[in-house]
Amino acid sequence: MMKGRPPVGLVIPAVLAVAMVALPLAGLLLRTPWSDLGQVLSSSDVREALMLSAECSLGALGVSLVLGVPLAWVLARVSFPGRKLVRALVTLPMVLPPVVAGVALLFAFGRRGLVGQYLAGIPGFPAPFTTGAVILAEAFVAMPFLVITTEAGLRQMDQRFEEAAATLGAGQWRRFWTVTLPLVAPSLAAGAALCWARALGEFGATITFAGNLPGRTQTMPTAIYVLLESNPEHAVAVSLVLLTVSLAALIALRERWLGVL
Amino acid sequence: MTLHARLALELGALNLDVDLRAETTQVVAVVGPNGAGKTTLLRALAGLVPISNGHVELDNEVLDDTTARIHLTPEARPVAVVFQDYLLFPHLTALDNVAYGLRSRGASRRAARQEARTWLERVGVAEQSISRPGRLSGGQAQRVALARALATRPALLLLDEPLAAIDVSARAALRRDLRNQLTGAEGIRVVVTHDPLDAMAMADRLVVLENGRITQEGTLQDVTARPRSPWVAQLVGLNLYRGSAARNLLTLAGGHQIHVAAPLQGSAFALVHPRGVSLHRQKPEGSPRNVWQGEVGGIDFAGDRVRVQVGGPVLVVAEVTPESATELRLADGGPIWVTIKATEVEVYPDIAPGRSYLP
Repeated sequence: MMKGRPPVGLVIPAVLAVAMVALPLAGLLLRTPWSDLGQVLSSSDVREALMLSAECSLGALGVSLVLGVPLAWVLARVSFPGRKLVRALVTLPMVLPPVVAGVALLFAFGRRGLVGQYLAGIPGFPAPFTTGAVILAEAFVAMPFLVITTEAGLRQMDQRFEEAAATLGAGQWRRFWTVTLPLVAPSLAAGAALCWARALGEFGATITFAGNLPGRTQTMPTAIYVLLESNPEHAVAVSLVLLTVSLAALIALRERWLGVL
Repeated sequence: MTLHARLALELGALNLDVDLRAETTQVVAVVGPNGAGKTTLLRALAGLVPISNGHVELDNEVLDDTTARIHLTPEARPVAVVFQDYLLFPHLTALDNVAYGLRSRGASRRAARQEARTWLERVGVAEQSISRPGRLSGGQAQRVALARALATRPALLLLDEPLAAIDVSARAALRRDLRNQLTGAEGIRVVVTHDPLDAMAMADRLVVLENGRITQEGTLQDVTARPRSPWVAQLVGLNLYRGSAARNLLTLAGGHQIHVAAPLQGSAFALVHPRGVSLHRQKPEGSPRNVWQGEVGGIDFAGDRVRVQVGGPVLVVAEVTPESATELRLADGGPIWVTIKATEVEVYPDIAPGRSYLP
């Protein structure tokens, strides 16, 4: 540590920076209707958004796990031409404006989209403005967090454990399930938490691609957007729920997040 | 049951080319300096690195054959490995580590655990069965690793520096234990080690691997009595020279000639015990056939003996009593005369074991 009085020219902007983050949060907490919070949260519109958010964010996490973990494995373990390109492509949604993601999804899965024109109508197809579309939009935006974190874990892992398993008669598939996955579990859990938190807060891609239909595509973030006009108290209550979840995720991840990325 | 491995492969700077045979009746130790290719040889036998040329056969089953394009994956080989740092699965208990191989080969969880328990008992760590590897001492981890490898009843058991990670204080006891376990185990057992003491304590037959080639093999007595490489000679504390013999004269690579008592023709080794080397401050007169002047190098005190390295046309280690060391003022260094009687030089022909399997 440096001794002596820190320069005012650095301290003042630093204090302002903290204020910039803390003041809005304080405003949110001050406006929260604490006394009838339970009642607000159980009102039908809020409850619907809560339930749908839980369903869609977990669905997006599920999709990301099923597709993203194998992808992370391939990126970490299989060398093929264009691997760097694939990694860049897969992580693009992390920096892409979500609304652009929504538009892109529309052009792919919409009625006249790249695949939508052929596949629309098939049961389970995530057509725009359906719950499936919400899950797809959230997975699109959130999956990179899981892939990147898991891939880093796979690269850091001591692969000789897999060799040891092989000499004990375990084939590739068994090695993956009994050695690789348990050993990357901490990274996988961190990636899953980040992925889920990102999916839960997804707004831009969701509203563009899935719309904002209460009970079908209206998640907490899109509900807040509407409620702010019609029922600000409810908007604040839902915001508080999201803030709490974010804080919980931050606390759970405070070591992993810095460690992996 | 027999292991017959003729194999060649290149890995980085290493160029490995060996012909290794092993039987169930003996524990074989592959010894050699670091970087000789011992671990790579072991990994090749386990199927963890592909060979570029050769044929590996175990118990009449072909594991590798480069001409027939056969390469069994590690999981398909009846081979188990005790790795240098054991590689016990950190997320499994000692018991489940040992049961892992049995589960992989189709045993039910219950049956696998039951058998794993008897293996843990056999190696003497039954009370650690529910411990995770992180809570085991080095010796315990080594035993669990051995039990894990033995539990699959491999036709070939490979051990890579099994005692390298063990404290010196616990080493002697563990070495004895490991010897007993290996003697009692079925199948072919090959131990890789850079520590000749481990090799001598555990193995019936030594295979000396240097720079990717087998330079010598045989029983402990054979190898130490007639070393075929400076590494082995140094190990057993002898002076070894290689050269070309013509009657009673051995010409070394540098041109220096050593007189020997027994006549021989062709490529040969000359072995001189340090006790057979005499040192003098004045040029000696008399019968010794080998006389040259050198320079006093390092001096080691070994019990009631003093070992002196003498540089010069030929590097030699001499062993003298502390009294002579004082008399000769060896601590002062400086030039010194070396004499070796021809009768103190043992010569034997240099017939390299093994053939090359490189194309």
